[in-house]
Amino acid sequence: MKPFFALYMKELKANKMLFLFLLLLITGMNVYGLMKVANVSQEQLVAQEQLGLILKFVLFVMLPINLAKSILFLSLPFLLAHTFNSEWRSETHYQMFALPVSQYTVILAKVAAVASVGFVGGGIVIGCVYLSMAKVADWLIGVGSIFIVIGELMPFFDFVLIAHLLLVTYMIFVFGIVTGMEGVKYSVKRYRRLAAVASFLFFLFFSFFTLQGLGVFTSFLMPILPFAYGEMLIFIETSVTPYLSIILTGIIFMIIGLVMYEKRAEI
Amino acid sequence: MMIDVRDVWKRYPGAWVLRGVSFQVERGRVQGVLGENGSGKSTLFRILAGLTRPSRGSAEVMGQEVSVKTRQHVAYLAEVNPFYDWMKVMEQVEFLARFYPGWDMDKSRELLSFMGLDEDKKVGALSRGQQGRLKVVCAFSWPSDLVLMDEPLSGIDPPSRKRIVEALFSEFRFGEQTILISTHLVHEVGEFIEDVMFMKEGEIALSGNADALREERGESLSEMFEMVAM
Repeated sequence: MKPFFALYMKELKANKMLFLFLLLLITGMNVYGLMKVANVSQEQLVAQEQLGLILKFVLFVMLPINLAKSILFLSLPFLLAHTFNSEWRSETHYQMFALPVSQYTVILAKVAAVASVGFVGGGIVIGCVYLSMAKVADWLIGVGSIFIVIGELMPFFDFVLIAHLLLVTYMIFVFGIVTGMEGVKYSVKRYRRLAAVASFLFFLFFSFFTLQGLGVFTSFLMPILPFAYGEMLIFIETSVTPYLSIILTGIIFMIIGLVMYEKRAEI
Repeated sequence: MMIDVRDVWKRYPGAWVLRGVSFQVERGRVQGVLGENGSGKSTLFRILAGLTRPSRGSAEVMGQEVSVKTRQHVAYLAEVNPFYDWMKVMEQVEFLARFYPGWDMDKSRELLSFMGLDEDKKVGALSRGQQGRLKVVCAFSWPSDLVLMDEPLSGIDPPSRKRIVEALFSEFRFGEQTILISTHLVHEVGEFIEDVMFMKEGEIALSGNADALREERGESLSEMFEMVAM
């Protein structure tokens, strides 16, 4: 555990500017989004007469928060790829390969560091989505329109739990793809970029053809609404099977990457 | 036997860089590996350090095929400077100390002071020569069984080289550490080398006990180096 923790801390420190920049950007956008939501008056909402216009208005007000969410989730795989590439570019991979620890440990420390950023950033986003939507729910109750149609606001902890399940599933999947890609990339001695692109596309297409539940990730590009209508949650997949199959696929990709890197990557 | 290399071949895209290299090194010996650029020295060191694998043949350290386990016994000074620019000198030393058993921080401080390195300076602010010195500090701060020094003096200014090499072999070496050293600067380490191996185009061109070779051929190691290179 000591070497893993040392490597984990090293990754956090090595990429601290990038990580901090991302988290500050996310926080800033969320704070701006919350302020924007807080400043909306019920009169403005009442002015949107039709249901479609109200939805559009809500989405517009929520834009900074949803944008922050998309930026965070889309940047996580790039951050992980960056931790690999910066090591090879700066030749510090000589130090990593000479350490008396397996490359599994080295890679998992990278994954853990980026996952930490994902959890912190995800926590901020999830909290802000809930707060903003709670405010939106208040307006809607006041206006007496759409909210009656789509249901009631979920309890905070239920929403946090489901949103984190989505976040964890997503991270395992994309980190699996990136690890698999990096494992293949550094297993070959030439045409590394081509190998990276080819393996990335292969993993992605493999996922599309084998995973029916990949659609749950559309939640990351669409607004997550913490409303429940009976048993159904709006825009969030609630059956466990798709999550499990995606997690399993991500783990398999990650194992492929780890094994390739450990057994085949060399300087 | 500390090192047992048998018929090792290594191919990189487009070329064989090692061609059937075999040699053994006894525990506690200082073995020089001499040869021009591209003769395969660094590849051989990388194989022994576990950074790369032979295409054919076997390489053993302390009776075990090179692996994570053998890396616990090997201090490796790479030909490049593999340090993190953003770390302070002491931070880099402390980082490595977490991985190696018996790392002696007092000795690290002593070595840093001897090398004239400021503990609080960022590694990125060090010159190439100073980073070379830091490599030496990291390699000799713990009682490894085997030290692999790939061009350890490159970048270090000529007046300091002799002083550093002398101190390493007389003062800072842990007991009977086996040392494998590759260098172009034969005249500066020649007197410390007990066994020598000259490499050319991925093969061992000449090898043996350094004193015996000198006596037998009536040449210095530098002269033999030049002769092999021709």
